[in-house]
Amino acid sequence: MIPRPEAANVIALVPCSKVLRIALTAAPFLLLPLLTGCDTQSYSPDLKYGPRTDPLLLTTPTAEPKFPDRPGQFPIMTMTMLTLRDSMDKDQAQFQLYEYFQSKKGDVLDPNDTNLLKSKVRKQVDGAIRRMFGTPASPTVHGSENETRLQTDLLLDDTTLAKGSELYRIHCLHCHGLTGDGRGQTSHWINPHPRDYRQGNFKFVSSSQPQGVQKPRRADLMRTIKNGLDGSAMPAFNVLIDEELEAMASYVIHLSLRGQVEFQLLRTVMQEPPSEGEFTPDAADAAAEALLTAFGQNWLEAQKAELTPDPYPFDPSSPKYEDEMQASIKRGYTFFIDTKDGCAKCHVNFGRDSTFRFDAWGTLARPRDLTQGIYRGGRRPLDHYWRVSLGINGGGAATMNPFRDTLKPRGKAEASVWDVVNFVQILPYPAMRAKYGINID
Amino acid sequence: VQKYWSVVFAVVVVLCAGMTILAPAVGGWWLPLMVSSFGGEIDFLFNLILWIVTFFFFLTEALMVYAMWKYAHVEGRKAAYIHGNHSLEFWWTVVPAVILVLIGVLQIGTWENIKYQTRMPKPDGKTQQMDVAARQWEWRIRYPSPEAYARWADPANEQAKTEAERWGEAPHYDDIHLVNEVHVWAHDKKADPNDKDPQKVLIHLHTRDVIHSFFLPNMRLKQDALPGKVIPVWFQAEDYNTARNEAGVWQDGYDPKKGQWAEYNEKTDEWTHLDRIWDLACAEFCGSRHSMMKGKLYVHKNRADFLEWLQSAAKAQNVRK
Repeated sequence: MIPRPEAANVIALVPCSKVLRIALTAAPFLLLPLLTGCDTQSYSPDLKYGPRTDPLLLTTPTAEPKFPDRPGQFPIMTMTMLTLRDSMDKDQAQFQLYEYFQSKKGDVLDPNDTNLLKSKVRKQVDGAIRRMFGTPASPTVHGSENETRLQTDLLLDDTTLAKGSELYRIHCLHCHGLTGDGRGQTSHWINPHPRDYRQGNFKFVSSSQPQGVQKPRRADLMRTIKNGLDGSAMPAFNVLIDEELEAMASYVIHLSLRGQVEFQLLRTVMQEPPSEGEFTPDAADAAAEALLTAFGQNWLEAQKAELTPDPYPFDPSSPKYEDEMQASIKRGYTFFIDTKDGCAKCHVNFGRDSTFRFDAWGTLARPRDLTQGIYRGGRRPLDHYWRVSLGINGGGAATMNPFRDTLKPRGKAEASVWDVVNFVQILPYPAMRAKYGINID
Repeated sequence: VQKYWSVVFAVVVVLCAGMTILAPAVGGWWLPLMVSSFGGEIDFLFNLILWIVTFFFFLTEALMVYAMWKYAHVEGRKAAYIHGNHSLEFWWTVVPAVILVLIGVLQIGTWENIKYQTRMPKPDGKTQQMDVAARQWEWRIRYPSPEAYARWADPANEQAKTEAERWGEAPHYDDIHLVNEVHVWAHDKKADPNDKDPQKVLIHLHTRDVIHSFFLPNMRLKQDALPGKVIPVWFQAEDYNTARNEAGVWQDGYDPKKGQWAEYNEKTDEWTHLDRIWDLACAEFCGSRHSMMKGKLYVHKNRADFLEWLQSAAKAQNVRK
């Protein structure tokens, strides 16, 4: 008797005909292709945006942690992270957040706290947000006073958003997360962490609004998606066609509006709790609509508020250009190294010794090392002009102040914005520093 | 009954044979368009190995099917006990060994030509240079400025010579930075048949994070980028795919022989002249978005066209208003 393979023995036990036995054996293999998932590209229609569960940071500490957060970890994701004091290193960001929020308890709100936020109120808030912004499969921006303008000027119509949502799912979701919270699967492992759109803060913008309400222009978002942010983990998506990138930008605006309305609505109902009886669905809708109208207005204004730079005062074809550059760079240098009002206040040792700071998202940012020649917001002189003039809206201690009113021609400083830009442009290159007599060592 | 199993195997082999004959004949199923100077050598080796392997695959399959048919189980027939066959074993060891050595010898020249550091083009004024930094998941590419090309073109300028030689070592103030776009110019064989040392493209390849692989299918060029190393890579394009389109913008997908552009028809969901769009791909699994780590290869007609494009890129980068 030849021993049979074990699998054959098992199959032989099945009490049925030989043909059926062969069919039963073959069936799992034939069904295997089904496991690959013949899925559509968009989200399931049953999927809903999750309600916000992470704490609302109203302010952030000015402390400067020595170390960034460890790989695989955010400084803060939940309130429980702020209670694990004993396991923390004192130089770690988390510990300093803990200390800070111990002293300023009112500055951090926990949306999971049922004492602070009654579950009935929470339900109304979530319902209002859902009615206003739809689901991931059919996103919408609905119920604002300037709804038509949002649709025409900001391309927030349902068709574009649905397309943007599909593309977002493919290209952005794994880092930026379903709700745009910047906490997707891979986000823990990359530092700087992906942007959380829900605060409505964007860093690399060209609109001249004041920093509290500053929003990016669509062109700014497009530039970021297209060219990526060199020096962070954001890659360039310029292989995709413009139409797709535009849809992605629209969807990002949708997520940002949704997140910001949710943030502010939660903040309002937690700081001034309404009575449960009065906070009806209609009242919640009205509150959300007022917020959406205000934030939508910020976005609409941003589109028309591009900062036009002052004309570049030097002519590269002029014979005096080199002398002018020499003087310009010198002025820029002098302003830069001023530790009181100039750039060196934060960009210590030209950014080589900059310290970590907390930003609006409760994560860490650090003033750029400008000797590297790597710029997240773009390397064109125009990009640098916008950064110096308008600052970087990082929130909290990580905000770069706008220097528009400090530098010439509006301000009193010796240097103009272009002088600082000229200096920053040559700073990374030893040959250029030698040429213009700049010593940074 | 059991001998009919051999028929199943025979059918599979016949289908394989059909595909093998069909694939080179059907457009888009075979190798992409080859436009590099050494691509012919690579394709020769590829085809040589492919057809040797194909021949022996069908030979062994045929023998197997024959054996299955002839020696299938018959009630009462007893298997013969043999203890190996020395002459058979001798031949099936010696023949593959000879083939292996033959392939090994045949590829030496090609390997030397493409990969030896001594055969790399010198980074002088004639060579096109670029610095390619791979990172998850994009290609950051740095070009010398148009001014640098102008300086390097002067053979009497000793300082420029040193500058060109050392260009790849560090970034410069006037470099042009682009993402996912490789721009080069083609060497036109017909225009200058006597040029013994036509210009080539020299790439300083490195990576900022994990291992990537720089792959230009149309150039038959593939080179891993290893952390901590700058690896020189060269190629020479013999055809071009980039020209100014009707709007005056530099665009790839151009076929100079037919004067047509690659086009996508939304209604039929089909491309025409897709073979004129040349990819840059990552050929080493480098992370979750490896498949999206794509760029494009733009080959300009000649140096003048390339410099004109470079001027426009420099202008876009130095924008101040």
